[in-house]
Amino acid sequence: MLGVTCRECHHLISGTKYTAVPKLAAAASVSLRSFSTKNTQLVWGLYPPENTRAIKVGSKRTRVANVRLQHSQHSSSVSEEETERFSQLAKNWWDTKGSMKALHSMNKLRVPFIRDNLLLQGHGNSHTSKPLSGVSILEVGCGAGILSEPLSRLGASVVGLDSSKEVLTVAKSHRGNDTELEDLQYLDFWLEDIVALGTLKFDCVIASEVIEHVNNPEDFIKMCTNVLKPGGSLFVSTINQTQISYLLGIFVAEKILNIVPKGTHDWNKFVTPTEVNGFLANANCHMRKMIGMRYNPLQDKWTWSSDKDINYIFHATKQLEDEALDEENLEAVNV
Amino acid sequence: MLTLRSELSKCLQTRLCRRIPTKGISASSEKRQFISDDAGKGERVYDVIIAGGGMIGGAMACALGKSSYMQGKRILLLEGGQRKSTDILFSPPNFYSNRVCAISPGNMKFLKNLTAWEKIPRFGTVRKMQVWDACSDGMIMFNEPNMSEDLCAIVENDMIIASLTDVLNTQLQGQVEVMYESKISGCITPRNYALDDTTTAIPPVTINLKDGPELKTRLLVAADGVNSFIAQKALLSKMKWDYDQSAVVATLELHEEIENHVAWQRFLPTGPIALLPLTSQRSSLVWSTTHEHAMELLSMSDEEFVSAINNAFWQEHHSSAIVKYVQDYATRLFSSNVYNAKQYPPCISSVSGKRASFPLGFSHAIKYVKPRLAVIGDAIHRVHPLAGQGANLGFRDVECLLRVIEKAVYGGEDIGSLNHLLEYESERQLGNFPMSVSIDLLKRLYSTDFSPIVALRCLGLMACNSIPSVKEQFMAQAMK
Repeated sequence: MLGVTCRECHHLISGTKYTAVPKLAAAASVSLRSFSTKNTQLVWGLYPPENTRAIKVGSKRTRVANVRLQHSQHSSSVSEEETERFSQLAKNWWDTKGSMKALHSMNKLRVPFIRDNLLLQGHGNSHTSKPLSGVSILEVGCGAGILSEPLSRLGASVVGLDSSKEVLTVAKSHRGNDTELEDLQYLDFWLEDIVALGTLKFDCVIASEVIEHVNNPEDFIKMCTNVLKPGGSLFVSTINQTQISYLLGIFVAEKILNIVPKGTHDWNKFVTPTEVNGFLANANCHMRKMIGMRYNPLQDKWTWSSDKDINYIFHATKQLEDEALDEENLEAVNV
Repeated sequence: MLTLRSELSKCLQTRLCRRIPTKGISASSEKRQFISDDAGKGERVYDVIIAGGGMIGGAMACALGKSSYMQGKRILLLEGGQRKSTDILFSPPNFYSNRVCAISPGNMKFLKNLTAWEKIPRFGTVRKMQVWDACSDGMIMFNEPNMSEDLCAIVENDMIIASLTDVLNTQLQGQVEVMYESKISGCITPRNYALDDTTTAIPPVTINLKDGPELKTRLLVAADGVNSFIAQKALLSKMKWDYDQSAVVATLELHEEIENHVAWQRFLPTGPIALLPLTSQRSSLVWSTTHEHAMELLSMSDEEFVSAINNAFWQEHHSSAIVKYVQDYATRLFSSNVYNAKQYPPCISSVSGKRASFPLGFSHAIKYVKPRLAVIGDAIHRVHPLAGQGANLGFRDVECLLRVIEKAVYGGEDIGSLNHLLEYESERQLGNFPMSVSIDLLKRLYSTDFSPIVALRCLGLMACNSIPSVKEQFMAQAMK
């Protein structure tokens, strides 16, 4: 059960429709109310401080209980089977010549993409040693932190989520005690949990090479945008559902060249840009930029491509509170 | 708290000294201890430590200090010698130091960007170069049309170091820490490319100072010269051999005041003798010759020394019949321009200051980088002074490494990661290796008076002199 000690209970409660007991709350950790979403049942509970820990995102602090959430229903964001498969790969995740090498080399494209588009949105300071300082990022499906670590080094406050405990352990071990990665936290929560918390909102949510592994991509996008601040950025990189993506992305990559381990990808779960546009529209988001990426397995190198037939990455922003969604805003800006 | 800290530092120590793959991964609590400089053990973790405060190390420190992408990062420069005074920049001494280097226009621009050029009070400019053979009439001349552009500048090494020190003292005080009289007694670097256990980040480099604290850094840049201690410790393999030559250096006074913008180099059978312009009445001598002859030159009187130099440039040597034949053939083959007629260098009247000599050799590192270690300057390449490229290659290394580090840091990468260090290595190997090998080849070619070789090189030299495109290629390479 997810609990909250209410040092900031006034702050937490404001904006929701639940009753509070401020007097008691001020004195001790107090149970407040129950709250449920479509997928999860949560009860705010009473927890002594030693069973809780702090999550700090940017300047904001929240305490959560060290208790695993009980999920009553199937999650839209986590597939048990996929989690199991990735847990097997945990030990070699950081081997840059191992089975995750394509993800390591993809950083050369996706880190600048994320950095520059966040700078364009007005966050951070360009051309400094910490261009993303002051930006809070949630990386869903962070794995062992291949993308989280660079973003944290760039000054962002990063929270990484992954469903696999083994992989997260590797992530924490690799992060170690590096002072450069002070503001990098890993939580073995599901995205549903962060949504349910209700008050933890981020400047940026990233789901790189994740959406093709979830059970329900539309719900997933909805949840991602739920935890975004208004005007916040969503970055998603994934694989298109085309004939060539089957040929190259699955057949050649998995069965012939062993670029990724067999069974990593399921073609039926790939998402097309059109579907993505639909999901974003339903989630009240503007598509800002979408570009294709091409992988050269011989050189282990990624390059930008105007062709989104296999891999592509996009940047969308959540609408601002007072903004109306018109037709023209819905047009995807294709690069 | 204390026990947790000591646990962690013990753990780190084990990882550094012996690479034991950790069996299970301990469940880490959210309360993390960070390595900071108040760890109470005198441990200080830097982002970059540059070992060696000479021209190249100093330039690296200034370049990193001035980079906007490195703001807030901890940079340390370790120099074994004492802090050099910057007085010579403001009141230069009468005499010129006998150790000079040739700085190409590209590197001049680089130093200007570091604001380390303006303060240099004096330097010679070369607008034309004449290189000729003693054993034949082979000759080559380099110059821009109408002597319009400078080919290179001749600067005293001390001036460059003082200028860089000045930049560090006045502009980069908060940004770059400098420790003088710090001799490195030990250095532990992560050795393998792929550690057995990739679940932890590559541990930092540990440096032990002779009388100082233990330092840790994410990236170690070794600029500690030809006999690099760090390169040895890191088991960086090199190709190296000694030349049976020493270079004798001195500052010379010219017989009369002239417009001194020509660099002269004559290949004698014992080795090349070069005269590099400093002022209208002074030039710098770099005479590469056999060890015995070098000893003689150092011990003879000033008058004898001066006449030895003049003879070396002016004396006609006997050329064999084969050579004469090839020369005539070549002269007919390549139409020679009138203005390219051989000229003679100015006469020397006296020596000013001390003479010195140092042995010459060749070395080239096979690898320039290891995880968390990058080596620059003479530590990776040592060349013969005949082409005046030693310092230039070093500055090019600095410029390349700076660019690579900036790009990596701006991309959020671990600054000591091999990924981008390998990019630096590839780029610089392409720049350094052909140049080093060519210089070595030239040295060997000109170290003999065996007639067929002399004939061949005469032909080659005359060919290069006559074919503009070939000459331009050489100049472009040297002026980078």
